[in-house]
Amino acid sequence: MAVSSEIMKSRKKLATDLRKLQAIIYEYFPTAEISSFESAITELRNNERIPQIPGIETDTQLWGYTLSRMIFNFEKVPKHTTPDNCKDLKLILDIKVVGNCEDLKTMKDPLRWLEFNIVIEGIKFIEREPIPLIASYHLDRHIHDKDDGETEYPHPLYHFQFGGRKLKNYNDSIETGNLLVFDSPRIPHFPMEAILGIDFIFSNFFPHVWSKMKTESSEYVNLIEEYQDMILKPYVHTHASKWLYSIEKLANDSFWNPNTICPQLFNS
Amino acid sequence: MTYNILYIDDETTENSQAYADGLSGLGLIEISIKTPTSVEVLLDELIAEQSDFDALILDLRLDGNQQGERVAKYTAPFLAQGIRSKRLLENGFKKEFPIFLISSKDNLKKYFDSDTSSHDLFDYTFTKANVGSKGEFYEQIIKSITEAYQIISEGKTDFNKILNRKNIDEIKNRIFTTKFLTGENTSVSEISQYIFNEIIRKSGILIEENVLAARLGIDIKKSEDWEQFLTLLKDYEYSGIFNRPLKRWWFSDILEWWNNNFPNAILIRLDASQRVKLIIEKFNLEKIVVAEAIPKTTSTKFWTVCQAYQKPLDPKDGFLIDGNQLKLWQDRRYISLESILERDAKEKGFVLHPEEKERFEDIKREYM
Repeated sequence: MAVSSEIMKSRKKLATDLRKLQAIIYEYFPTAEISSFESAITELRNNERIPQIPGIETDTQLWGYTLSRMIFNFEKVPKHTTPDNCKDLKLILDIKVVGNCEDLKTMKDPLRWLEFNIVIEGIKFIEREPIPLIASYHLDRHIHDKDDGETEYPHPLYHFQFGGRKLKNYNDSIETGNLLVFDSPRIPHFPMEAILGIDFIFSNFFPHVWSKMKTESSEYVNLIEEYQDMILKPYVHTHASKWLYSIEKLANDSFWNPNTICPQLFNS
Repeated sequence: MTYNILYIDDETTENSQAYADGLSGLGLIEISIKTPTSVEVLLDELIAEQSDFDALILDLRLDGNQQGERVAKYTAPFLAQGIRSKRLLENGFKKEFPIFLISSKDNLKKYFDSDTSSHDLFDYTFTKANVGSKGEFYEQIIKSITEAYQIISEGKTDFNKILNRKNIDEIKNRIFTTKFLTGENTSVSEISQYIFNEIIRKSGILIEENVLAARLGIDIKKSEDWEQFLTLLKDYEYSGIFNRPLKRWWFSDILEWWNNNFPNAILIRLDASQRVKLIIEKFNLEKIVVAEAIPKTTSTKFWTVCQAYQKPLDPKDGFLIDGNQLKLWQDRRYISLESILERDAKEKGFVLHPEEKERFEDIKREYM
């Protein structure tokens, strides 16, 4: 099955944007380990590779890539971290995303598949013995199955959740102390591919790097705006369509505006 | 084909002959010896004799011996500069050829290492003390670089042929700038040195054997079936210029091979034992042994090697090395905590990246 040149054009554009992001990250975050950008870019540019979604027929219109084990070291232990003797904190990010090229720049769901896993690891020392520490969050696109019926808990299409499989894998060896690990709420969140996802990571976990990037790199700002328009806009507009509104009636002031509601919309 | 190499040194004939013999034991090259004289005379001689040699080896201190008829008052970079400036001129050298540098370790340190502006005058540097132990490797290097000059000069932009790969378009646009892609204003030596130093010797597009093994979770030394396993990857081995002395694999091909064989297992996310288990089951190889982690590390999701120990390392356990600016497609280089604490990294000349110092100091305290 051949991928049309029109589809390859879209995929190559996505690859070029990843290349831009990669260069910006290396400039502002020199210790970042993001070598998997290379295979993601190769994946997008290779017309013999068609992204697959489990249980769904091959579709040559799809774009997709996997970015695995991107590693970002924390310079310091952030405030309010428990235990307070933790060391060598790092964030490990995995993203797998698939979308349909035809859906880009429409009001449709921009993605068809999303796995977005954040794992934070560190170590603490007890009598010189290193003890691993772990926390994890994930953003998923819920897979609605026709035979699903009502799930026990409602799953927003895109939801953020603390914990998940990554933590479960550790279950046998994890000492939870007084901490209760609970099936936490699935919080609706806008979908994020690599560009918005890494912006989310920097804004939440590496705010100093983030503020430099968004004030010094026009290339970064342009990329984020472009992808917010492509990925976030259809989500927000569709969400807001529950209620009719007119722009004139919206009250925009310094406390209540797109940027305070969502800091990632920093240029609004 | 045997290449003829001209070796210029101010040492006694016996000494020079001993080095020449050490560098040509395999019979891949033939070395003739010349002593230096004033630069004008020597350049004229070299131009007159240019059809007799395919490459030059220059001793660094050509001015060491001031006795006899032929004496020189300059060092190798000065001569190399003179040779390079007379290339492709009507009264100069008709074709480009490699220039190698040979010297004692002390002289290299004293007169050459800090003079970085001279480094690209030479295609490779040998130390005299190592000729005994590494002579055969050096000989293969001399041959492969000399051969590379010939292949490149036959078509400076024919990257299919230079890198010996059918499907090169996607890769070549990533690793070469327009200057190389069009071949305008580039020399054979510039192309050869770029491929040798940036593509072959740095991990990224191509990976070397120990990185390949690390990414597959395998301990090469303990795995009797390693060579047999490598035959499965034969098609992905790099076969372009310089491939003889330096074995490399196309990493994108290796990854594709993995994904075709194990579509549901993302290689980089597996730990070493999971990777090896899949390989053993799929290919019926029994004597493949899982690589062990370096002490004081937390993971076996190996993706690189500790540069000091050349042993598998998950980058998350590594400390970034300070060094030259890397290209986007080149892999970062790391050393392990153990190698820093044990001072092995320092001994081998590796320096921590300035951005990693605080992180290191923070962990070091726990081991003091």
